[in-house]
Amino acid sequence: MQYALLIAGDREPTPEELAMGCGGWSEEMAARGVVRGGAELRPPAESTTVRVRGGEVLLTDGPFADTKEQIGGLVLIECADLDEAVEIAAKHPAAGYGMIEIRPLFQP
Amino acid sequence: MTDAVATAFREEWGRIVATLIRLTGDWDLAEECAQEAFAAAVRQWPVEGVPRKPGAWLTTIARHRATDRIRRESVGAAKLREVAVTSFAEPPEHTDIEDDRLRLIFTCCHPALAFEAQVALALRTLAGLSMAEIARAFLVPETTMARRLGRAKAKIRNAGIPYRVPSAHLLPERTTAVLGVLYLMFNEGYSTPERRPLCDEAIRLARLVAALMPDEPEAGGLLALMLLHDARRATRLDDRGDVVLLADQDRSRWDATQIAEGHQALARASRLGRLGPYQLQAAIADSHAAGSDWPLIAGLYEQLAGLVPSPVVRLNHAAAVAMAEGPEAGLRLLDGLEIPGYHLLPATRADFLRRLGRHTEAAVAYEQALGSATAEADRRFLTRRVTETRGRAMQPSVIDRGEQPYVGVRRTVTMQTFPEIADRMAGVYGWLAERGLEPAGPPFFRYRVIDMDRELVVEAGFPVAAPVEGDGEVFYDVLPAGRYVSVPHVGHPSELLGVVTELNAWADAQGLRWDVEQTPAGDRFGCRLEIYKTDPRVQPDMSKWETELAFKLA
Repeated sequence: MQYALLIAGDREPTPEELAMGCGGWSEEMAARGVVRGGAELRPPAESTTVRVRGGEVLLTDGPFADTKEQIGGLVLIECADLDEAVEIAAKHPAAGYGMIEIRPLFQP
Repeated sequence: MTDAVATAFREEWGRIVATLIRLTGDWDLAEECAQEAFAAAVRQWPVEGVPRKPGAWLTTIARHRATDRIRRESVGAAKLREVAVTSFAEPPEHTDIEDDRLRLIFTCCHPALAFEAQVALALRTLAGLSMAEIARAFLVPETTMARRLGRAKAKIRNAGIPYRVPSAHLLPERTTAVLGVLYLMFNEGYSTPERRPLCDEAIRLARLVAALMPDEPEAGGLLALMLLHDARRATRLDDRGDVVLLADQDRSRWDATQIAEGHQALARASRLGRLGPYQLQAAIADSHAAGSDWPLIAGLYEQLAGLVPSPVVRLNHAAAVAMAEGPEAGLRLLDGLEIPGYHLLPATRADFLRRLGRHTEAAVAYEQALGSATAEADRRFLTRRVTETRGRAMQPSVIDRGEQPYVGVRRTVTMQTFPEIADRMAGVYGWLAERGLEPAGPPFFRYRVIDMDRELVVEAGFPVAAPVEGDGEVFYDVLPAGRYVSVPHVGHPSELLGVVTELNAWADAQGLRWDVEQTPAGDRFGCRLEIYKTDPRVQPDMSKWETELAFKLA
């Protein structure tokens, strides 16, 4: 099964949280070979939203959902089932200060 | 459906569906094939007779249907081989099937599914309830329930919720989740009479889980808890649907067989030697079934509060302590407890206050409870209590009393040794009779000095019409004239302590001060009377006695 881990939070992690969490997760997941890709996103304030309506390209400043929680990054993983995906997400440092949505991908 | 098919349906449905889900990985297909197998049984059993092993017969038919369907739809050759691998004659292996149902339970109760979806899935796949029955249990339209079940099954398939018993490191928390779903399912049925079938199904599933997990004491504890509560279902509500308190329930109508089964299930679970919240709650219900040993129950609630830090548990603990040691002790335990929107907290406080004779405060608390109660039966009960306590609320008035000669006996007692003075009342009466004198009014206690924690100086006295000479322990004195606050009370004299509490608060609010002097021995009162107006020979029932408090003002 392939899943996207959508990492969200309503605030930036403190330096301590960053320092505490980063150790281990990437190394363990690399060793297990479950990570298929991912990206860290710059803040939503720097984003631009595009729509095309009636042939016209409409741009808005900011993200499409104006909520407190914003997606700050995503990781693509491949693992056995939802239980393993939960285990992987729960170990991610961001789960400790933000939250992680596990979204299954359409299977190829 | 014939009886044999109905029985087989109850016993085998979950087993067959569970096995087919494992073999095909397709929940809808599994249900449909199981249904077709039972349809075949309805046609064939009346003609050909009931097979020796109905479960094996049904499973075989269902497997064949699944093979046919998969072949027709030519989905995956590997899957086809797996389904067809067991030959017609071979009875399915017993242990495998047990595992299948356990797999199914853990999958239905996966925490990634919403509670209602978990319950609906379990009711459909394990218990075999129809969509209409499940919809009724949740009081929603059938189409809504069908959509909800469809979404849940789609999530299991597409999100990769595994069909297996969790591995050892996940097992404890996932077992807790499964038991939690069954517990909530039972509660849903227990709290709403129209959802009653949920109780029966929860018990059936709990029985299954307890049988499948014999080493899990909490599974047995949960089963026991459900059985012991459900055994009282006939007496919980009266004909109008109003709540009947435990103490007022007709024990002869409790289900003795179910109580015995619950008791045994609890005993079996306890032998495993790992205590948990369900076992403790079952032990409490077990004690209620045997006549309510309140000190034991209070102790069990205390243990439960240690395991489950919940304000509701603390509330129940307070209620049990009130039964074991009296409402005052219970009231102390409610201090600082807050459960927003939960009517049972103010209702319990009100009950303690009422039993203490603090009817004014009780009425306020009952009104508060009424403010957050929603169930009709609860509201009727609370409304009745509000009216009753308001009617009995303290009604003090300021009066003038003239001098009153009396004869009496004096003792120094504690709250525990109070009978030493109370028992002298008859002696004083006899003393008067010996002299051919009639009391000039009802007898009273006069509290001279009060130190509640240590000693009280109390007199037992009778008013007399004219001065007489004291003799021996009986003395003559005069109650002083002056302004008094008088409070009539109807009810058990033990409630007077509560009335005094309320009276003190009332006097404070009115800016009234008693004629009292603080001394090292305690508070020395100018005149503080507790007058007994009811003749015990006429009315032996103390809860109907009329009394009056009269406190002299400064």
